[in-house]
Amino acid sequence: MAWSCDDTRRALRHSTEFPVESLEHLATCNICQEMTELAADVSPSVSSSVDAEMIKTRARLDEERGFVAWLRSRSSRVRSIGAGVFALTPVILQLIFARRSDFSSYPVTWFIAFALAYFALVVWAGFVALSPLYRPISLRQFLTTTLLSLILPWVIVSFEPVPDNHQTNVELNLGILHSAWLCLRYGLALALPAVVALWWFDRSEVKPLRFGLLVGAWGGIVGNFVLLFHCPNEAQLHQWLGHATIGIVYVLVIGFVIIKGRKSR
Amino acid sequence: LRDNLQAVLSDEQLMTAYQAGDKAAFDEIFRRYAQLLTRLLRRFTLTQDEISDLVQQTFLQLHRARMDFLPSSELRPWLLTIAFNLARDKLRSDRRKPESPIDSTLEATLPGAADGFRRYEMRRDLGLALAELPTEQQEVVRLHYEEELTFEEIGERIGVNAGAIRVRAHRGYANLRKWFTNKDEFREESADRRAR
Repeated sequence: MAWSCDDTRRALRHSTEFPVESLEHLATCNICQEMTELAADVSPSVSSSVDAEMIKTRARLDEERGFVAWLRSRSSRVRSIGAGVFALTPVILQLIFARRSDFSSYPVTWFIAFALAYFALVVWAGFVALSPLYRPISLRQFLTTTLLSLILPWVIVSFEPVPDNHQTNVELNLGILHSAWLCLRYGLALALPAVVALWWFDRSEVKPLRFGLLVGAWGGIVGNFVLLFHCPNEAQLHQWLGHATIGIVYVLVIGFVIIKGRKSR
Repeated sequence: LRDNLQAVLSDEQLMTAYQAGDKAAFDEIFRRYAQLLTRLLRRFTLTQDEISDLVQQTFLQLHRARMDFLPSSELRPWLLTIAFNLARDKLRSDRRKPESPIDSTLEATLPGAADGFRRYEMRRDLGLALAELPTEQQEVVRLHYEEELTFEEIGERIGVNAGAIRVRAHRGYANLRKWFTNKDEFREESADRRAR
């Protein structure tokens, strides 16, 4: 059950510790913030030395140097726009300079619909991933966005209409696995700058797993967006293996990196 | 002189100065809030080292997000929200559950558990503080905190909708806090309110 103001009051009155479930509510409820602050304000002062703590904090601030530190201390608006630029640049370059061979016969309305869906999710998921700590996004919103970003490519490649002069693995003289591998590699490579940018723009000291999953899913959306304008191979299995799996690969790799990093601490 | 000047600036003015690169402003913000954050974080299942680390991280995040801060907004809730979110991430990653009661709540140890006299004094102070609140806030805080009614129940009892009760509760708790931390400011504001 969700934490409420009554639970906060109960915890304060009955001297119990606040569980982790309370923090989402405390971060957004001004009444509970006042109640807990009041209790903290009038409780006995702590023995730790403010000056000693300040020296430690200053030391950490002194480490905030270099390009990545500069990137993450930009305003949230600049960070979001920056991440969007990294995500959309390969898509636009693909559309202008290396359009798929069956582009002219592809149903325009479907193209627009798919492109808009990918675009909307790139913007929204980027916004959610980079939401600053003082403006928290609920865990539910985070997970819904991640799930949607992972599922959308599967939905699109499963229901994509087939243009008149589409190509198949046979016509391309490639085995299904080989052709899928080429697209997977291409999508992963072109989404990589966007994934790295999002990772760098984030301000967390220790990346939470949920952030890693969203970044991975976001990489999948960017990769599929690029492939929408790149790959004329409409074979269903090719699209599932070579396109829709980009997000899953990123999620697995980034999840592994985060968990391994956590264990090594 | 510089330190004295920093001390009279508001939190928001200090933050604006820090945005412009004044490091002394950061130190003053730290002095004002480090202890409060430490006391707030003691309410969670965290060790002293973890609390210390979270306080440092909170200020690190304040530094990283400094360009987001708008002079028209308030620094205090901004900083607390950052601290609560960092604590949430920390506790989630550790998957810890609350274990034991703590001894620093408003009712039990505001006054200091080991010190009966201080406890009595604090209870008395709380009574005095409540008595100085505007009547409508006093009533809501008493019903909410002491009688443990929900906002809906209070609304039904005094014939006001729950939204308005929440507003009164918020103002009431904020005023109580002001009474304990800065009585002069609290009384000046009360006098202004009455004059209006």
